[in-house]
Amino acid sequence: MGEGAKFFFKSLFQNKAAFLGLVIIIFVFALALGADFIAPYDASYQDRESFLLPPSWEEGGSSKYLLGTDPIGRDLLSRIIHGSRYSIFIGVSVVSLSLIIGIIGGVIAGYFGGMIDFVIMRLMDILLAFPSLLLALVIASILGPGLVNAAIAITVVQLPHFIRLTRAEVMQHKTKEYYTATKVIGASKIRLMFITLLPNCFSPLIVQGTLNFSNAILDAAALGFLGLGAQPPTPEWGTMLADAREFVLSAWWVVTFPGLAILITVMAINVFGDGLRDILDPKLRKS
Amino acid sequence: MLRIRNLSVYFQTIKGTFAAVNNFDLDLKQGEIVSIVGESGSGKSVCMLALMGLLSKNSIIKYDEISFEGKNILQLKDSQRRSYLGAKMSMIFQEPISSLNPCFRVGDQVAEVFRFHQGDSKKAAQDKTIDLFTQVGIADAKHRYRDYPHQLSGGMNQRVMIAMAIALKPKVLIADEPTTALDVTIQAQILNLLNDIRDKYNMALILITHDMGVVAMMADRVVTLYRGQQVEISDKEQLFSNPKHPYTVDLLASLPEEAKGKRLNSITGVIPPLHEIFTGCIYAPRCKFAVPECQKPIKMKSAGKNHLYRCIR
Amino acid sequence: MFKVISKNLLLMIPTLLGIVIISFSFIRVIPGDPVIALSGERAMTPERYDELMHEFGLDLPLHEQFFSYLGDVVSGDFGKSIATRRPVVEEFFTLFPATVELSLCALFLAIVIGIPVGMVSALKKGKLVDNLLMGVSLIGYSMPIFWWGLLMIVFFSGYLGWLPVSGRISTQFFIEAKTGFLLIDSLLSGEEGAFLSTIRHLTLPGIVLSTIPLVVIARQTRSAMVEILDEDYIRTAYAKGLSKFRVVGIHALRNALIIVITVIGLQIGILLAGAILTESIFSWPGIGKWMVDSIYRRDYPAVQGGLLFISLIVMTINFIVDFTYALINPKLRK
Repeated sequence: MGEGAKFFFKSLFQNKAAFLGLVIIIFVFALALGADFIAPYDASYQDRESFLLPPSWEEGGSSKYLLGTDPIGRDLLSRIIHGSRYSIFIGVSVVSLSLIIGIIGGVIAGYFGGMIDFVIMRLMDILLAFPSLLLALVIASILGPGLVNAAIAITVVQLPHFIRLTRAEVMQHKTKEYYTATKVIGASKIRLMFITLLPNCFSPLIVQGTLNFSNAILDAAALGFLGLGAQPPTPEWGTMLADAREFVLSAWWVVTFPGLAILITVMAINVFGDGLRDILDPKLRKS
Repeated sequence: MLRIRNLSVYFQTIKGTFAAVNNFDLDLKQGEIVSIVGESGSGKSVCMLALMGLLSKNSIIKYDEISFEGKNILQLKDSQRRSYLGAKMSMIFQEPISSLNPCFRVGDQVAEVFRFHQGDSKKAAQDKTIDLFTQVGIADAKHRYRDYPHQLSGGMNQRVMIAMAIALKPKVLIADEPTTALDVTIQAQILNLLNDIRDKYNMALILITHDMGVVAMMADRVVTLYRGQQVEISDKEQLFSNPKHPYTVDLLASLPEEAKGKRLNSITGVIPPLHEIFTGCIYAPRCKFAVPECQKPIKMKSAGKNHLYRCIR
Repeated sequence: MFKVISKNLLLMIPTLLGIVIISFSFIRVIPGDPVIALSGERAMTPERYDELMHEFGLDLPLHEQFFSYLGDVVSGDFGKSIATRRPVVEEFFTLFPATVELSLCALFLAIVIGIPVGMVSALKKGKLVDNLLMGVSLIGYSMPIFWWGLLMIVFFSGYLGWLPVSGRISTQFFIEAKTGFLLIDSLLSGEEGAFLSTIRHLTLPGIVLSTIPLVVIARQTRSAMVEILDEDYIRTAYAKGLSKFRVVGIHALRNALIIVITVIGLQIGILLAGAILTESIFSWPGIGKWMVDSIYRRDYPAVQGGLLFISLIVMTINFIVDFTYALINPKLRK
């Protein structure tokens, strides 16, 4: 393990909040991977005897259903555990897609500058002129509702952040000596762009990626809530909340727990992202 | 007028508590210029910031006596202490541009002193400020009043800082490396200005510097500081003609004027870090004359009238 | 400063054109036939189809279609809603005040609470108060606000029964819309209890919508303040003998505000996005809910017009923010 990695993990252990965040993230990933074995019931299993059963510790609750049941007798806990898959899926796919496209676009804009840069940046300006959720909504309505389309819509919305960030980093590093040195020995454009410049721009991109992971989860849940993301009976957390809306005044648990799952996951990622930024961003790193 | 005995300043950090200044003594008479000399990191700014109450919260200040016109200003209530700061005792800093607030007109920043301490009306404070600007050599004072710090040169900004500091005719002006950040041509102008002001108001000037040239030009007395410890206190003439402590000797030898025709002297080595604890002489590791006895605690010795030094030789 | 503004204005032109192109393409890329999408008529004879095709100009070549659309937009014609058969512009301006009222209240809350919270946090950096405030702000920052809205309803409307669940005012009142802002209209109407009812209806959505901007403003104020309190000129201010209140509240705050105002400006887009969710949850009759409803109803002309309108508003506000920034930052003057 290199010096950098050692420093990284040491700092991570010292930042208790970030470390706790990482533990929760790993836990949610484990839930998503092992949902079939961990969840007590299948996500679509219906107990026709027990509609809207409160959590087990409440009066009228049953020990069979820890967090209670939903309006058609499905176990809330099992649905939340299965739901972690969709949030993780959205987060991973949106961030990796927008990272890949964003890096390529950003490196090209930053490296070539001039007209290419101008066109790419104006395109990004156009995307940024729309409130993000509205744009995602409209794209989702064009593509039709569904989880994959939601992922595409959110990727488009988040793309400008990655492109702008990569471009800014590339332009900054283009002024450094090591770049000039590599250029002078006659390295190819592709090499200059992706092997010389790019690795030096990774730190802020990783931080941005982490923070956008949580945004993606929030946006996907919001789309689900508005009926344009995952469709019922998918146990996606936002979709579950949309289903539960009419019981908001009569059965608090169907509204509370899926949201709590979103909050905890998003918070864990944000704390971890903040910690990562403190460790990786040399501008903020205290000597 | 100002008397300091045994001032020590400690900083608490994650790595432990360090002494930045040890047992600092100072006597200041009206109208004199005392220079505090030392390399960067020697604690010369720290003891003056401690006196002004401007150190960060992680500092601990200990002393036997601090008295300014018979009062211990560090033990006054906050509101009373503030009535001294900027009025009877004021300070100017190394970086004039960053020491002025970028969001306010320079004139208003000076006028604020009149308004805050004396309750002057806006108009009165403005007139006094413009008058003051002219005194410190700012041409076209009326228009400069309305400028922002970034629109003025470093030298101009330092003149503004000086105007701000002398606005209420303080008894003591502390100048922390006032010319270090300025062009050489401007440096002499600013030093002359400080000298004129001292003569005019008969105020005492504490001049913090690392530049022996500045000391030669300005000081009446000199305090040499090495890593938080006073190593020599003396009148200027005696110090230059008969320096006692090897550190002072080395400092003087590194002046270009002293090296006519010879190679310019430089002191080898660096100041030892603050967490290293010394029982004896702190300069020993870099000293040409170091002997085993240097490891024992060393008291200040007298070398004549008004001349103290800390060395076994 | 003039240079900055004119450069920004010039850069807006390609962006504006891009926005119009996107909204023009929108109706042509949605699934299904644009004639059906624009007319909302499902079953029609081929004659009627051709008639509509001609009416919408869809029989022209694409570039002519675009220029005629551009002409319409410039002259203020943003199309006609299928659901109401009214011009989108008209719809928009009836509903817009409701959104503005809600957003302004939320922004007001966010600023009035966010800036002091950030300042206190910065002054007490590393202390318990700071950790507590930043911990709470992290929760707010991570909050799915639609869920937050539901929780508020569960607690304040369901459990405590204190506040209404939806709408802008109790149905017993009939307030004449003079300004469109109910806070003002209800006062003007002189009806007893109308103003109070408006406030009660505004409270929950206002709090929910203010959450994210509040947290962002608090965090940014804190980080700006922390940096500024370390600056040389703050030391100078203390050396002048100024009180802590004056140093922090005037010398530091003025510098922090330059940064925070930009942040506040950037919140406008977030507010409009948040309004979509908040208005849906609280059935608030504003443009956010109208956009969502239009999407549900497949009222594509309304969506198209609304999209264009909202982005124009966001751009205008961004421009104003840039302008204000140049105005209040002495370094950018002259």
